[in-house]
Amino acid sequence: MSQRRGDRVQGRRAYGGVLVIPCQLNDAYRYWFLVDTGTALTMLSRQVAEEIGLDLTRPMRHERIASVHKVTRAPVLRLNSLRVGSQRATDIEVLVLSLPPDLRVDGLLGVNFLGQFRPTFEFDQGTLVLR
Amino acid sequence: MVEETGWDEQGNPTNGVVVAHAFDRETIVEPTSRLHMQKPGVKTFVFYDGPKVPEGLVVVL
Repeated sequence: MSQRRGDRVQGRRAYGGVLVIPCQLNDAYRYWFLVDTGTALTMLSRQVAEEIGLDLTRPMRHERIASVHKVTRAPVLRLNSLRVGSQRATDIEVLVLSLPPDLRVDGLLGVNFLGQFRPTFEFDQGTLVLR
Repeated sequence: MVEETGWDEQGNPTNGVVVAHAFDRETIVEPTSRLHMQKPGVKTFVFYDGPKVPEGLVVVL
């Protein structure tokens, strides 16, 4: 039985070992996102939302966000597309939230994208594999 | 912020031109928005340069 090789997305490890990878939004805007299986909805920084022209005054809804240290509310908007490697998903809901500048990433890649695939982490290679 | 000008067969950027840079992220927002308005279809890559791991920082989200 042959194995599906999947799409290998080269990233890098940072901040104690987490994986960050380049993601392209709306086929035009590329940023580094932290891959986070503990995040239900993919998250963008407020700066990214402004750059790609999301209208923060007209979100689809607001969600309560529970993280390890606090609960807050954040607007939910929709991306036309999100591409990681050669894998592209459309109509992806995203949260917009300010991220700490020290993180030095522009978003968190969450389960609403990752869950469309069978992701494998190769931490020793700094690689995300999407099947 | 870099305007991408070349890509490999997987679509990863291989060439680009630095369009804007700044010490703080906020300063990059306006030039990025402006470039996309002026050049529809342009592809950009915004990333942080310099030390990738702030000293002593471990992420627990």
